[in-house]
Amino acid sequence: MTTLVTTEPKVRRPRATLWTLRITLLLHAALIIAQPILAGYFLSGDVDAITAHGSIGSTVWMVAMIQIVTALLYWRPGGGRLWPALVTVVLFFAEFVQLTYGYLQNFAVHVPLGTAIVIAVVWMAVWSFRPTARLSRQEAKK
Amino acid sequence: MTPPQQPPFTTSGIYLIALHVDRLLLSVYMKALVPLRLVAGLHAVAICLQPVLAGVYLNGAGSALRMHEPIGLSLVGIGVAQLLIATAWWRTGGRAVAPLVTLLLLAGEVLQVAMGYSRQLAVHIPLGIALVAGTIAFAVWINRRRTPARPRQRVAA
Repeated sequence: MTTLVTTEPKVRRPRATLWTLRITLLLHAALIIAQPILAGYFLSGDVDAITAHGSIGSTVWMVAMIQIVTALLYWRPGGGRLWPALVTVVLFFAEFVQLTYGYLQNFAVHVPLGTAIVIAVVWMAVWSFRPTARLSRQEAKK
Repeated sequence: MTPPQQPPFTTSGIYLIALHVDRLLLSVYMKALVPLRLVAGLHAVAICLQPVLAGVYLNGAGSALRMHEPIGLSLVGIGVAQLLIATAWWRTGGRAVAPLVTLLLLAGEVLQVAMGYSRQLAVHIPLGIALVAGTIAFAVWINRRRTPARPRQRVAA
């Protein structure tokens, strides 16, 4: 009996590191999605909603910091691409700016930037569950 | 992809008619895809103005709301146009997802206008963000897909 052994070149694909990135992204997305809902409740008269909005806003940058670490691990040693880490660094700064403008009550920046942050986090979370996120750097280049 | 039922050199009338219909569909497909891409792009750009104007309004400039309102109403019009073009593209060989997603976006936009006028911000703000995300995602998706060489096969029986 002959067994067919396929000798593919050994490529390192992210697996465990991808799952940690996915879990971080889900947590991040859940917190971020809560923000516009809470803001909407506050603006329609529910005064307590702003305390939750403020406390989530004051802590969500920590989740972004954890996400920088998991995205870097996804890159190395995971073998995935680097851009998720770079995008997360941008997100981290954006969330700080967002926090500042929130406390300054400058909504001309706070509302559009908030929209952009929500879209970016949700898009990253969706991306992480698509087959392309499983690819190694070398495979993704092709 | 079904193999052609007739060898290519057969010149039976039915085969020629099928060939003609396919060519016609392909030309409509190409003619519908370009406007669909344009209208989806315009839709995405216009909807990005809405959170900016809403923020400026919340800062105290009442004039921003006088721009937020007509843009919101025109977005419904753009949504209707996108639905028509997406339907034409789907019927000539495109994907059914295009009109389906557009229909969902349009329904969301109508609801969004209603919630805006009735000042129900607990719905208006999260729904608004979802609509911005959905519209941008649709525009990116339709502009990224490569144009396939042939539309869905229609084989004459």
